[in-house]
Amino acid sequence: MSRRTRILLLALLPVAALIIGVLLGSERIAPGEVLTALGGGGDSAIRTIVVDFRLPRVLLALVLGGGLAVAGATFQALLRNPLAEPYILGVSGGAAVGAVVVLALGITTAGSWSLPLAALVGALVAIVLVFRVASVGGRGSHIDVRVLLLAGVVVGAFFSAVIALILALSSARIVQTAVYWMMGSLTNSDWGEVAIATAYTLPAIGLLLARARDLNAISVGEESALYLGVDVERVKWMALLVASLITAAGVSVAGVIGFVGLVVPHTLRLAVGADHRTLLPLSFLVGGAFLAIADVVARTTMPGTEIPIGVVTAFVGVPIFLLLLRRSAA
Amino acid sequence: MRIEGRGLTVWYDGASRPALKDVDIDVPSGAFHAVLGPNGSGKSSLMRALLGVQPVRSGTVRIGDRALEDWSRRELARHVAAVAQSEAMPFPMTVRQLVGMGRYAHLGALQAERREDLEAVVDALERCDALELADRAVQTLSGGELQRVRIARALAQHPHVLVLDEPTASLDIGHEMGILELLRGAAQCGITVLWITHHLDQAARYAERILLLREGRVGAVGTPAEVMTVDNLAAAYGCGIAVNPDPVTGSPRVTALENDPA
Repeated sequence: MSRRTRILLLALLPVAALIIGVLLGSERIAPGEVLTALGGGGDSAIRTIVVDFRLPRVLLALVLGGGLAVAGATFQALLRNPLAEPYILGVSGGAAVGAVVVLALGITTAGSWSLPLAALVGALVAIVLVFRVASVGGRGSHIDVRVLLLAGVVVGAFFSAVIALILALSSARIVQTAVYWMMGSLTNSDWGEVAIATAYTLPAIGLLLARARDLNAISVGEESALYLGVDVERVKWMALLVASLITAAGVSVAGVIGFVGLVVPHTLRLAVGADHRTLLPLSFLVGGAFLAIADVVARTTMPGTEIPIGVVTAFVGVPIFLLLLRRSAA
Repeated sequence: MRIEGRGLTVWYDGASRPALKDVDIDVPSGAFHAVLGPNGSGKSSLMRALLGVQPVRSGTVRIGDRALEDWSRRELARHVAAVAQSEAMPFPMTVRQLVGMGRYAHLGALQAERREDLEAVVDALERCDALELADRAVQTLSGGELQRVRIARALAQHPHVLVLDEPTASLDIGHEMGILELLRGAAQCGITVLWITHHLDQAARYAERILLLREGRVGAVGTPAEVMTVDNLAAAYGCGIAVNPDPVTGSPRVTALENDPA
């Protein structure tokens, strides 16, 4: 299969995911009825399920999964490390602290805006903290990515301790809610969330895409990138910040969904190469499709309940990743 | 295009002495100069200071008719290409892609490669005897092959100044000759070449002028015959030295001797 064909097939995955995601669900609905409902006809209960629940949920998965994969690919290029993932700078820890605090204080109820807002604030606190630590030099313009990486890991560890402390002092019901949130879920998707997620993710990805060549150059080394004409510090700041914000916003909506940002870019690099002009848009499409399919699995495998989507992405992502690692090592 | 540094001093945080102290260097347009010196004598620091990658504590750099500060990275990369000592290759990439990076400074962020860009890549690969590597994955190259490809990337930038940090370090003598002839040819076409190297004999043979660094200071500067003396080299390298004319080329040839000649 030529590279061009592979790219085309991969780019069509979101369409397949959209169809599967709308057709399948905990309620059995015939494909014909789904089509009728999408056309605005048929039974009103079915129309509600298809148009108000399934469709926004699939679309949200496409946007969030895509955003996570793009953020992962960006971090990997900037840190020159294929093991980097969107949460590597402590963003998930910060978001989780925010979420757990409002849960423990009893401020939030399911579906209210206070939980995502608190998670977003927590994630932003983590980003500011990590970036402050990692920007060295009097002028504050230079970021050492090795320091950034270490700062992220350590800040993440600190947040884990804060979460453990709060949970230790909370009731069992709150612990369960918090743990469930941290494993990620798209249960509360609606059209409003789809609109918001799309509104911030697409422009952010556009910003990164405009810097795709610079990311290529930085991935072989910052000194070489400077000689190739890249304003390395500016691109680094912008890309790290944008990727962190995509992640922060994603976490605040759907909790911590792992492996998308790690597995998808890595797989795509093996399939189509490491040129970010192809890698970033394809990461968006395939990452979205991956999360949408994972969400279908999450809501259909166990009747009457949903598996946390982070569990599904790990169950699917880990074997794929190990297989690829083995094949690329052979 | 001329590249000129005056009084360059670089002091790394926590170091007990400056990496570079009051170094002057002047490479006129189309000249082929070499920088020599033992490990840690400041060769790479000099290169980074000249190219604005390493902040200097004092001193000034002029490239062409402008001070270094007046160049943006992008503008500079259209005139000055440099090959750093090493780089990371963490991701799969073809040779053609890597060399294509040499064209980035000539292209808009979203502009597709034009025919002239693709031709520049092929031409540069050809000149470095690396065209048959074009579709290989970078990770599968030997050290010497990668080095040739990185030099090709610098040539694809179509620079007026070319700065190279030990470009022939991992090349066999055949390819080393190829690259040196290439650099000499580039200088003859008007490209200013500054070549940092450990190869004393090759520097004596190819460079028009040599700057010998010693503990961050200028140890000697001048033509190969002026710089490649027993006194200069023994002082810089701290070992016994004999210098004799090469029987074939006639240029100074250096032999390192035991530290204690007695």
